[in-house]
Amino acid sequence: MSYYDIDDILADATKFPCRFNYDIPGLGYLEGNIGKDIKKNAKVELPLWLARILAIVGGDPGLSSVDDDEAFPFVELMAPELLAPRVINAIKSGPATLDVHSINSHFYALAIKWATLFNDRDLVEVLNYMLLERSQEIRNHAASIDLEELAQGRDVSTFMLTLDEFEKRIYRDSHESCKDMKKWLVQR
Amino acid sequence: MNIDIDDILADLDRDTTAVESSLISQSHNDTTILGTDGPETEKFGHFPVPSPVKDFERLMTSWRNERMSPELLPFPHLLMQRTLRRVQEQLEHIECLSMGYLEDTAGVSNAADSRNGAVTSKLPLLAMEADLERLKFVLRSFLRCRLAKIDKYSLYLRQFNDAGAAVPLDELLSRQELGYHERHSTMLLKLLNNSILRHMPPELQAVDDNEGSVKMVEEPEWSRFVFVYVNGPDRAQRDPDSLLLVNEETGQQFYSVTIQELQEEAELAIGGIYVMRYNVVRDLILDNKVRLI
Repeated sequence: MSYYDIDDILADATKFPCRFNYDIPGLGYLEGNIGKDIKKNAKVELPLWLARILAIVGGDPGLSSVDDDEAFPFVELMAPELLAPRVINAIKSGPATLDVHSINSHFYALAIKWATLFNDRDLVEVLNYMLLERSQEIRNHAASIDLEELAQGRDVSTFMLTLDEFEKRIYRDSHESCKDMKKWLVQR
Repeated sequence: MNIDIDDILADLDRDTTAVESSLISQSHNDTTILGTDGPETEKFGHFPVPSPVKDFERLMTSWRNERMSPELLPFPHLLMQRTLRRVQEQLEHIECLSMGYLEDTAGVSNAADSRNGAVTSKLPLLAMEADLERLKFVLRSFLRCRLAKIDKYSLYLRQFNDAGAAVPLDELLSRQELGYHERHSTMLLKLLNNSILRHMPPELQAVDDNEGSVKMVEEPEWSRFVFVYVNGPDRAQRDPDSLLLVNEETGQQFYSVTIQELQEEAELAIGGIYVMRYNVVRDLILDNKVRLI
């Protein structure tokens, strides 16, 4: 995850639901009504690169002294759809059958960012388990196209369609190396 | 009642090998391949004479390490100097031989000495050329790999120019690589400046801004997993190696490394292959006790 990593940039553009803790004049364009103010408790979908920094940086205590003295950050991140309890439960029950790509195409990158932002130990454990389980499946697919499964009429490519971008890279790399190895063994 | 005479036998062995090695080195000098010269051997008084075979092995090791390690390793200045000179010499040698081959095909009768005997058959010439190509391939691959890393970490390497860096940049890079790094980064900077950066507000114009939400200077991935082979210390005698410990149960010699994040100790037995985080084994790699595969 470096500055010029294109996947990282794409992942950062994913929108997360946020709630504003302050009335802020002039920011209405985040909601779509340009020129208006943004109201307190307004729910806005912000891209992660914006939401992350706004959720850390605190507002001026003087600006918000109406309610409480505590310096809230500008926005409060709310639990996103891709990490909703039903997704977590689905991961726990069967990682290999989960359609990660339909949840979010940058699932791992976002989940890692989320976990680092909130120090979420449980989430990390679930992700570890998920990655291990799914990587076994990925390896199986990468090593060879399973003839038995083809014979049984099960479509192999359905699993491929459920991979997220990170897993696709793993799959591509391991598939390439398996293919090259076989080629080298067979052909001279 | 057994009398252990291994050390006596070893003494005898040493004598014979000493004679042989001197013979070998003489024969090397005769054929003028890859001879070793005075000044370098004097500089490395404590080294045994750097033989071509040893140097090639060392080159292979540094090639493999460079290929697999996430960071840019220090440039082996002396080794490369020696190898490049040998490539040059061998090139000339082959040329001389092939010239002789062209001339002497007519008058084979006077080709009596051993050199011409080798020349008349093509096989040694072919072998020499193939061997030279092999060596040159390794050299090229090594250097290209380094150039790729210099491209990747050019901003990070710039920090080495600052005072207080652990390793000076001219030790890490060769002279040519320094020039490449300098020119390449100025060219890249010029491109970025002309196309995008000059339209930015002044405080956003830096390309090495680490204060923002994402760090712009890409550091090597210190905690990447690498495969390592534990080859033990370079020389045969193991006594002076203070890091090397002995397992009391199995009698196996091993290095002990600590994995910071897990607060865990791991034993790297000699001859074993492990998957380790790079920052855990980095010191051992730099000391040549472990190599990457």
